[in-house]
Amino acid sequence: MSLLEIRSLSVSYGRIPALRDVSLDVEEGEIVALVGANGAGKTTLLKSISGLLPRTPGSIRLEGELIDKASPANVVRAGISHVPEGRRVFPEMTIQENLEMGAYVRHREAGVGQEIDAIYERFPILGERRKAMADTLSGGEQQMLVIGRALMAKPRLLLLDEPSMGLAPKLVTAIFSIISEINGNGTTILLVEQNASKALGVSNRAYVIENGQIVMSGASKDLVSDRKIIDAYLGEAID
Amino acid sequence: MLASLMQQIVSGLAIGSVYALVALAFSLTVRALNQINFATGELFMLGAYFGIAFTVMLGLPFWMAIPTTAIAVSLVGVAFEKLAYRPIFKANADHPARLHILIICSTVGTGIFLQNGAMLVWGAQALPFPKVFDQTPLDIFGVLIPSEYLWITLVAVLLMAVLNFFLQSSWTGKGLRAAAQDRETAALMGVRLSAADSWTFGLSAGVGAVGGLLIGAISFAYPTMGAGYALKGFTAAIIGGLGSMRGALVGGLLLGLAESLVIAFISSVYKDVVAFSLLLLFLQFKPSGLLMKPVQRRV
Repeated sequence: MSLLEIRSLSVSYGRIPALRDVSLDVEEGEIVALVGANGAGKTTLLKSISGLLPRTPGSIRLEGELIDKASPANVVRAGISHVPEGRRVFPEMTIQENLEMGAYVRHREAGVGQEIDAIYERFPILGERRKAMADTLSGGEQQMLVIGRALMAKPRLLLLDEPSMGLAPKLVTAIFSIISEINGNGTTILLVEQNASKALGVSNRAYVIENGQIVMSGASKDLVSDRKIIDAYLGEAID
Repeated sequence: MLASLMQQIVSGLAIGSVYALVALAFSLTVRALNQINFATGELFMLGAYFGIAFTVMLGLPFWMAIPTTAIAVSLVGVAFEKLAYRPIFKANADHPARLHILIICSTVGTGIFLQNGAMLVWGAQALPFPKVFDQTPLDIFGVLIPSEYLWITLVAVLLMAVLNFFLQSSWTGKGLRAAAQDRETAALMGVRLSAADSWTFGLSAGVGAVGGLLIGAISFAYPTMGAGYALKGFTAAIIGGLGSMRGALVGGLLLGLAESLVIAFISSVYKDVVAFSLLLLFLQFKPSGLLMKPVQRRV
C-alpha cells in the first residue's frame, strides 16, 4: 500500500479547471518530485492534499485511509505537513513561537520543548536567534524555519512547495542537502519544484505536470536523460 | 487650580482607559479579520445592561459582575459571528471588496438590532446603576480624588493585561495570533479558522462590554449610550494604530487625557471638537497611528 495514493483527482477554481484526472503515488521512504512550469497545477495539488482546497471528484488516501474530506487540521493530525510556497513564516512571532506553532496539533503531548531543541541543533542559526521576530530573518533562514516548523508536527509525509525559490545558489544547495537529510531520517517527501534539475537530482521518482495533467512519470534518473524533459525543463538550467 | 487639574487628569485617565477597551475591541477584529465591527458600541451598551442585570437582579457583587458580564457578552459576540459574519464571509470570501461592504452592512444592522432589542427589553429611558463604588473620595496629598475613577482605570488596565497574557502565552492565543498574521498557514498548522473567528468576535465583544459596564457603573445604562463611546474608542484606535494592542492603550489614555486637559483649561464644550480633530489629523497625516508600522503589502 502506498503511503499517499491519489486517484483521478480534479480541482477547479470556479469554472476554471486547475487539475484534471491526476493520479499519483508516494511510497513510504521516497522523495517524489513534482516538476512543471509556473501555473501547471503543482501548488494546487499540494493544497488539495492538505485540505486547503475543496476536492472533488477523485480520492486521496493516506495509508489507505481516505483524507479527501478532512480539514487541514485533521490532515496535519493524520501525519502530513505542508510547507507552503514563499516562506510563510508568522512574521510577528518569534522563531521559538513559529516552531511552537508547528506543534499546534500536538501541544498536549509532552516533549515539544525537547523537539524544539532538536530543531535548534539541526539549524544552529535559528537557536541563536530564538527570541528574534521571524521577519528579521534572511530568506534562507526563513526557509529553514518553515521546514523546521513543519517537522515539529512529526509528519510521516512532508509536502514541500518550491523550497529553493528566490534563494542564492549556495543556499539552494544547502536546502537540497537538508531535504535529503530529512528523508534519510525517515520522513517521506513530496517535493514541488521549478528547479527541475535539482529536484530530479534529489528525488527517487518524479511526475511531470502540464496544464493540470500528469504527462509523464518515472524514475528520476531516467527522466533526467529524457529528451523532452531536457528541452522543456532542464534547458539551460543543467548544472 | 492644581487640585481641579489633578482631578481632571485622574478622570481623564479613567475615561481614557475605557476608550482603550473600546479601541481594543475594534482592533481585535481589524487585526484578525481586517473588518471593522460597527456594532462595537452596542456590545459596549450591552455590557452596562448585563452589569445591572447581574448586580441588581441576580444580586452578584460588582467584582463578580465583571467577569460574568464579560463572558455573557462574549457569548453574544460568538453568536454574532456565527449568525451575522460567517455566512456572509463564506459566501464572499473570494471577493474582498464586496465582502467589506456586506460586513459593514451586517455589523451596522446588528448594532441597530441590539440597540432596539435593548429598548424593547429595558425601555428607552436611562436605567440607574446601583452605587457600586465607595463614594468617599480618596485624599491624595490634599487632593480629593473620586475613588471610582481609580477603580475604573485599574479594572481596564488589568483586563488588558489578562488579555495580553492570554494571547501571548496560551495555545489558543498563539493560534489566534498566527491566524491574524497568515490565515492559510495557520490552517496548515492545524488552527481551526472558524473557531478562531468566533474567539475573535467573542473577545472583542467581551472587552468592549467591560468598558460599558464600567461607564454604566458611574452613570446610567441607556440603549444609545454606545454610539459616542464607539466613536471615541475608534478615534483612540486610530491614534494608537488600528490593529495594535499597545496602540489601543496608548491611544485611549492619550485621548482621555487630551479631553480632560481641554476641560481643565478651556471648556468641556470643546472636548469633542478636540477629539475628532485629532481623528481627522491622524487619518490625514498618520493613518497608521503612533504604534503601527505603515501597511506593507505582502507578496
